[in-house]
Amino acid sequence: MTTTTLPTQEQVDRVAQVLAPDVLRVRMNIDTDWADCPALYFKVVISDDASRNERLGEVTNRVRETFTTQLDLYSLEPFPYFNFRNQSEQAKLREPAWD
Amino acid sequence: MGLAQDLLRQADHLTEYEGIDPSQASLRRAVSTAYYALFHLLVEEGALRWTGSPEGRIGFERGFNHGSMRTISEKFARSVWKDWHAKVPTIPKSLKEVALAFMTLQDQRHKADYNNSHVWTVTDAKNEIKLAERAFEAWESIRTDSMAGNYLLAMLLGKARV
Repeated sequence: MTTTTLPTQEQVDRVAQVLAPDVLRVRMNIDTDWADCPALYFKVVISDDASRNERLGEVTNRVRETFTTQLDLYSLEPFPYFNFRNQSEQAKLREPAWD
Repeated sequence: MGLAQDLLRQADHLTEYEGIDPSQASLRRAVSTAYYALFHLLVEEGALRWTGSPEGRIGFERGFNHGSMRTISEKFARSVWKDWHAKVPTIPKSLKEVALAFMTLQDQRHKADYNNSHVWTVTDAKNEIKLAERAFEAWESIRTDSMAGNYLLAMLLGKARV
């Protein structure tokens, strides 16, 4: 059973705050995935410390679980996908979609 | 060590062998390789259940199709898969983790291989590899469960009850 009410950026921001200081911000956009199915893409900027090899797996897993649980993402038709980069990488790339 | 494990190690190697600033080519190959590591793990596990001839085993392995595996993985990830008696069984958490990782890695693999506008970072590529590693661990914990067998069979048959 899927529902159609998609989360707002404000809701996304509130969940991101729970994950601070490891998570700095999260940007969401709606698109289609490679199979042309509806998808929610989350661009997550994490701290440099959180991206250290010893911590990265735990942090990114916690981010996925927190978002999917708190926003009930698996009940939505669009499937959620998460991409990550750290603060230094984004400072260098300066992609507006991640700011 | 099997092909799947070798691919997982190779994915990690691709993010590191050029030092702290790896090329986009290496990061893209790393993400793609992480997906294929999980793909081959599941195909190998499916083939372990084949008790016929060696030639038959090769045909059996070739029966796995990326698109069908995605479709079935989504149903397992969302816990909406209907079994052979049209019942909706409880999907063990570890199996859901595998299915979720498969969905994610396949999409990221397409992005890595075909979307040249996406800039990969070390953090993002390593995240995908860690997702694959988690899926390997989750699979190890669930591989003898009957639902794991159902997952493999459903992917092989490529048909999903709706």
